[in-house]
Amino acid sequence: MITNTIWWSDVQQQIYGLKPGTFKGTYKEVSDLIHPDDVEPIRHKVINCIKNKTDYEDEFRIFHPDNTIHWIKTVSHFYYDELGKPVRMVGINYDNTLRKQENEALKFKAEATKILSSSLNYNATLKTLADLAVHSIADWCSVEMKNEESGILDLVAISHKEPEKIKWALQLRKENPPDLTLDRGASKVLRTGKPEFYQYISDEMLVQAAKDERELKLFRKLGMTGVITVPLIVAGKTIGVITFVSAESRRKYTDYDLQIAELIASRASLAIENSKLYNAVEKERERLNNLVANVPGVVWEAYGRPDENSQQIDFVSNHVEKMLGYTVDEWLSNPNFWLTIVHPEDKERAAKEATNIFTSKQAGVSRFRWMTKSGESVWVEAHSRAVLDEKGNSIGMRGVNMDISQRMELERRKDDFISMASHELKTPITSVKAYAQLLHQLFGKRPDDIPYKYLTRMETQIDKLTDLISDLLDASKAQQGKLEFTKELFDLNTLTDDVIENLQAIANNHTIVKRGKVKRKILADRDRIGQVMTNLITNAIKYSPNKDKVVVSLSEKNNHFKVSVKDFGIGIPKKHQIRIFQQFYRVHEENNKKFEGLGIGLYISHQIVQRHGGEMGVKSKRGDGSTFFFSMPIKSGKRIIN
Amino acid sequence: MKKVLVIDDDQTIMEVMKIVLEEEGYTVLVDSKGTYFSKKSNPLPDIILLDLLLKGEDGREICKTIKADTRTSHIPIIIVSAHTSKEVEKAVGEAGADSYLTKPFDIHKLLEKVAQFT
Repeated sequence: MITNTIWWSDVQQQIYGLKPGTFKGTYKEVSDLIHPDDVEPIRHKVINCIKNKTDYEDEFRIFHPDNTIHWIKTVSHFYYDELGKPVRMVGINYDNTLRKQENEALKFKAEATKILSSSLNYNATLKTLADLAVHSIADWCSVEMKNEESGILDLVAISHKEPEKIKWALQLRKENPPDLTLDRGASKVLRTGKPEFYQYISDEMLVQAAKDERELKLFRKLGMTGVITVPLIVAGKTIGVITFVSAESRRKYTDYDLQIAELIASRASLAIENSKLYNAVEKERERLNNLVANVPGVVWEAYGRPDENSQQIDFVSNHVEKMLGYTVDEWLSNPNFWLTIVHPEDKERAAKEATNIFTSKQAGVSRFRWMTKSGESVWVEAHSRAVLDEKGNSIGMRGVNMDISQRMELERRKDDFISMASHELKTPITSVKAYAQLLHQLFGKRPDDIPYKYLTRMETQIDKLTDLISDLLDASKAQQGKLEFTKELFDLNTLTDDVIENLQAIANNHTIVKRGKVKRKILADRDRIGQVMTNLITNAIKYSPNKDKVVVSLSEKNNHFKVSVKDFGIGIPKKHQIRIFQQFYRVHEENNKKFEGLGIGLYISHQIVQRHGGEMGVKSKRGDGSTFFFSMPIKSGKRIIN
Repeated sequence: MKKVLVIDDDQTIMEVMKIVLEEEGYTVLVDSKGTYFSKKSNPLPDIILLDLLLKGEDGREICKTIKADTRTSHIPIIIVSAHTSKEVEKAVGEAGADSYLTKPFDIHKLLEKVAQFT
């Protein structure tokens, strides 16, 4: 330091990129080799070390003659004279570039991996990734993705430490869109799915690669010294590329850098794939949410038995607030909430019906009243289905509840009307029937007379009219589940005999034959069971106009009795057989003659049988007659719901 | 001669009941408003045929009033109504009537019922 001369060993000269023996030992030579940004900090540190009498330890950048930058790590010791003035500085330097680069690459790998697994918005993630790269292994980093529609490469992210340079690059790209036919760079990687790696790019290479003077100028301005381009591969398909460029840092890329770049690209690919899947699921979810939000009813899902306090509502659509005034939160935070707001009169039944659906693992419909937050009642029709686990056990239910208050009101008005109309119709019929009977008495003594015959027919028709009115009233009640029943123990055989006797009296061509018997008395509504039998036998006669026999069979099996009514008439085509028990359903077949009736008899009969806990069905073939049957428990212990 | 009081607001039904019952030898008293017993001088009938649905009056209430009055409580009341049998059965129980007949009735059944209670 006194003589202002420096001595470097041969190895030290090689570390600095010089040929051994070429270093002349001047400070200027050294400071020319050091990166301009690092010269001042070094000077500063050295002065401080001398001041504090400490060793000098540092790390800085130097330029090699090939223009690449190397990192030098140094440790030096100062020797002082007796006055404390530094006289000599002795130290060792070594090239730390590779280790430094490796550390940067590792740091990039760790941070990039963290980012890629932290978000599902891949456009934003790729931008962060590019930013991260330019703070570690690259000066430029860009991510390009192939546009599925146009086939061109879209630049989804580009980063450089200086925003001005990004602007310049974007402008450049606008003027020179990427040429996908090129046999180098992003185009080639996209096509081959293989990475492209230029460890170090010399000016000669730029001259060779540039297609014209203008491009060469551009390359030179960019100052690339190394390039790594790696593919983004999703489901075996190359969908884009990430390019890392070394420029100002003069970093010389190593195989290790390539490995890291490939690893990050594969992790980015995975992140993109996940993100795409997630977005697809989200889109689907949004679609479903939209659908659910537009259902004019309460869509819901719950876990647990519907009649137990542990039942938890898992989902309920926003419509619930509109319908009942309770918020979605109130529904989700109170166990078994649906049942707590059912009208007290309907609660027991609603719980039972829901539990039946849950335990039967099927779907079902139930009607009940819900109380709104403000205390009004709303009629709902709940269509629900059991939710099963993978073993097939019921674990919950889901469904939709529609507000049917308006419909119920209309039905009530219709029922009131039918009830009133039937009442009003019965009043004149009462007089007509009474007068007809009075006249009958007058002519009774001469049964062969024409007036007597006519009056008999008139009375039959009046009775038919009365039956039709009763049927209308019953159909209206059955639809609301309001048919009245009075159970009693009675002998089915006697009832059958009575019914047959009554019908035989008015059947002109048919003989009604009874077969079999039921030994025990049955517990049911005698009038209603008689009504069902009358309906089936009347139908049998009506639909076998050219035949002369109807067979009524009674039997019993497994505590159930069965009544079958067989005719030998026109039969019922299969397609009508399921719907024949529906209200107002009539079998319309071409070339069929029209049969009188309202199409409600079988509906009422079916309802009566069902309400007794029984079953009703038909076996028939077109042109080959029909057998209608019903069966029910002989002595039902079950309460018949009124 | 047994007296039958018919309480019904339908004139035609009243007429035809009168014919049927008088032919069998009953004396028929008629009341279309359910106010027969408010006039104390009216003779007490042996049986009452009461319609459930009168204009502005509920047959059930008329029945209850008759059955609550010691002067008339012994008189059998047959409800005659165009309601369904189940509904009338219920009304008979509620109002304390003795029996019922649904409209349209068979005149022979009407006479049977009246004979049964007189």
